[in-house]
Amino acid sequence: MHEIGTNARRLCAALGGALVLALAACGSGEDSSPGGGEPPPVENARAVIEAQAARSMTSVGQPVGFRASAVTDGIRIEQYRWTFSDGQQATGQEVSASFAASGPVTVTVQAYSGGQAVAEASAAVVVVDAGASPFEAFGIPSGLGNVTGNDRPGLVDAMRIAQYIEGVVGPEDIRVAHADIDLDGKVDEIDRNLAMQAAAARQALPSALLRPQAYPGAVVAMVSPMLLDPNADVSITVDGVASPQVFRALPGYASFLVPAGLIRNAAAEVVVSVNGVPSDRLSLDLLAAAEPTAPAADDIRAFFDQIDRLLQAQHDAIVADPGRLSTESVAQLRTLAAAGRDAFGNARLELERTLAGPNGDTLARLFQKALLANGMREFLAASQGVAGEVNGKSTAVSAAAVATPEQICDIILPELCRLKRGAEQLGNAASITEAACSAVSAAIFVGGAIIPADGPAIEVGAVAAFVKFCVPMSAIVSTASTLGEIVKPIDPRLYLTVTPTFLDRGENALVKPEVTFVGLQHLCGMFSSGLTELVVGQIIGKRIVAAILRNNTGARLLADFFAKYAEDMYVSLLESLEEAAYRALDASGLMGAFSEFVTQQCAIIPTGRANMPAQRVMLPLPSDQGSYSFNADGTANYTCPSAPAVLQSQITLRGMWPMCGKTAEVSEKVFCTPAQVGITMGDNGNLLDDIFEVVINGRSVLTSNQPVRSVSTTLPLGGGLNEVLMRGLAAPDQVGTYFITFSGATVVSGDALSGSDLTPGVTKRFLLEVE
Amino acid sequence: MRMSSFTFRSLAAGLFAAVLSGPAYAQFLGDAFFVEPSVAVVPGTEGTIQLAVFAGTNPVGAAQATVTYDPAALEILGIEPVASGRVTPAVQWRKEGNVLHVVMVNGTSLNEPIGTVPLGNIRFKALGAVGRTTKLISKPTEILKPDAQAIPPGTEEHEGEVSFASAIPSARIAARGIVSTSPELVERARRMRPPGGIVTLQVVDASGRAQPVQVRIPPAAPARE
Repeated sequence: MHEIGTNARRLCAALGGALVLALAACGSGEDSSPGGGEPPPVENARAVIEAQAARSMTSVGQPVGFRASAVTDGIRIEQYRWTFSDGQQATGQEVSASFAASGPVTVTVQAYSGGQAVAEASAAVVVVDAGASPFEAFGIPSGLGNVTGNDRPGLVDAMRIAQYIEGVVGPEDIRVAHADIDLDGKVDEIDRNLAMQAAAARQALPSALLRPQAYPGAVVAMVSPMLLDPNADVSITVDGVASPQVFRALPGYASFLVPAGLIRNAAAEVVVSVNGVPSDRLSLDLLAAAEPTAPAADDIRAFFDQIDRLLQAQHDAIVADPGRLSTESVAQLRTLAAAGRDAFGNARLELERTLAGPNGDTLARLFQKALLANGMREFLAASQGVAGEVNGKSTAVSAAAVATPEQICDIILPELCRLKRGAEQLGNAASITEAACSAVSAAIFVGGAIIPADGPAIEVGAVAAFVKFCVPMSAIVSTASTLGEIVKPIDPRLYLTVTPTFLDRGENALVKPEVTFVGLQHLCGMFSSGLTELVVGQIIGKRIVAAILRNNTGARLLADFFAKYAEDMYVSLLESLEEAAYRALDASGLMGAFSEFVTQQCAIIPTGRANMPAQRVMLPLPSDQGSYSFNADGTANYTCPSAPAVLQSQITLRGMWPMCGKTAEVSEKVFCTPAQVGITMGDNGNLLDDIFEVVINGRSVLTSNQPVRSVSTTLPLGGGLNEVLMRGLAAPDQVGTYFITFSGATVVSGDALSGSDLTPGVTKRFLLEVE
Repeated sequence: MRMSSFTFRSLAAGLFAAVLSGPAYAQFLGDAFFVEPSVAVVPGTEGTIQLAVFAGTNPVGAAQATVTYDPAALEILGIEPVASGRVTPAVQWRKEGNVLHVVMVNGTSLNEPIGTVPLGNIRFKALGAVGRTTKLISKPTEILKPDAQAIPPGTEEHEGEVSFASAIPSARIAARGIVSTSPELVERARRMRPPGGIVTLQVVDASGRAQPVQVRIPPAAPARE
């Protein structure tokens, strides 16, 4: 048996020390072995086994059952030996264990035949203590959705998330990490809507699928308050068909494999059963199975070619401007980028070896289907532009310089967006690979998840090689996109300020389009506080852990990840890359380079609002709506038309600029020939009991909380005719005694300015002419 | 505005009635209600009814209300956001049996909207038969200012209704709605608006056509202006 292992190591070396081989046939041995005892290396691939926990999540002290199942080439498995990462050991095809501490626990089971280990597999159980997140260290806290830190999340949290997204409150005002409810690494409208759904349900968490649409064979993540109990037994069906894989790693969350063979159903019913009781019903837009349009191997190669191009694009983005960073930092970052690409290239070699091996065609078709089911086609479409982008101007800004509006448009924004989009696409690629690997594993062991007829027929050695090839791929891609991940939370937003907004004919207003980089201050603050390692570790950790939580249904991936990376994810990833690419990656040197990289970004990217060039951002105005003149600092002067048409006195100034793949639009209204119109109204009856409301252009502008004799406001109205509505809101004696007066405008028609019939349900209309 | 009829006696009676009835006007602050509480729809077609809260002079950062309805009569298709001046708050909803939970948040402004603040337009498909009317009942759950201070939600429920008709009158005809004092219609209107108000009900006649009928809700207190 030793001989075979040695041969495998030689094969590894021949292939350039691919990480995948180190993890697979090369004797995953020492590094990945859980503590306690070292299982001997697996000798050959005459069997493939899978280890499954009865539950993927449990509480401290709560026993969990584990079961091994095997596919063999005819040999008889005589014994299963289990080794847990907390030191426990057990034998038997089915065993049980409980755990004393929270966190992920991995278990490796080895199958023995003829006294030799012939196969091994691993599984993971996430042990939860008192509801705390086992992934706090990776930036995934417990109590997701609770951004205010109240006893429980609710409407106020939804509002705060909305205000954060709109820039009304900042990162110092909410617990930002708690706002990423869908675990996609950013806080956006989806998180806001999920928080609103939780508020609507009066639950700590919303009940939702994190992907509303999926192909059969895809992995879908979900969140539900029904999943908060770590000891609950959870099963999921889609249109009545049981999911072959359900995985839970964070209280409230689960991912499951959509069964293959289901037909198109725009409202497929997902039923979540907890302890055998149907507890949650959700609707999934189940797509028709994505049919291959190209030979399997070609499709797979195209997918990985595109990842390679993305890595190249990111490499170029990182090192395009060496003048901005020290020589040492550039060298470190180049090494990292190159190591990522090299490691990826090695992984591809392993893929090619697997495809060329026995049953390679079948595996290729399985993998192709799983990739298609999990978004390969969409990824290829979405990432086309990213890989092709080249920015030749990136040397134009030096660290010492304050960026001009033109440089922000032409250099800083495109460069930032490219890094962000590259990171996003590489993250997608890693997720698709992970999910596809989970799906293929399920197809093989559960049978029928992807290609029912092919599952049991696959040659076990090929399966073993394939599964092990899958494991490190996403880690490589994720690590290689580290720099992109660092800048990913920075979100550029466009603003427009016009002062003043009320002008006489021929007067000017200053027009200032600006960009602000939301999230930058937070990042810069963290780095300047010397928390580089923490930030980088959390960013990498969150990317990988969150992706696992969202996309993994097979415990094997999580087990392997945590067996290798849990203690110090950042260092372990670097070591993996170093091992895979034969490059010296110095962790402390890279931390310094990251720090310098971010410091440079912080120096160049304005931390407050920065001018954008109005000449390029603002859309032209029709000649009868005034004109712009442009200033050197990027601002513009807007001049009201000298004789505007009566109804055009309210003029909308519009600007737009591409912001990371989307077109940001801003607008501001100005009023030429404006008038400050005073409005006074109230209840002038003998009994003070009536409430009214004044509405202009659909907006309530004047009302009161209780009956008042008189209340006033002054507001600008555009020249020309303005319709004013006055509504009765309360008149308990059926006599709504009202009055309304205007100053600065003339009432040209409408209802009486006073009366006693303005009761609830009645509206008075007045037409004002503003000079 | 009958200043000339003012007498000490009537003033005293009015004050007494006002005390007895409590701060009747206050039911609006914090209340959820339907802006146009009575709508008519042809069965099988879609209609909308707008849900709002009244916040008085307070800007609203978020609001939540429930709407109870009859699923056999209405199929809820969605709830769409409604602009309130320059602010278009986000809306989400959840259906639990015959109860809709409607949540609105405004992340864009700390100063507006005020007054009558729409939560959203409830879009539905009419399932009922011509001549039938189905009720919706609104109740506020929580209302927040943008600084997270609570505006106490009103305790009153307010009704809305959807009448199923074979034909809907044009806006011009509807504007000439007739006035009715029918006790049945008054009772319907009373559940939609506070005492003393006016509601235009959509009443389906024998031929199946909807007719707008204006109904005055009896006062809670003797008329004193």
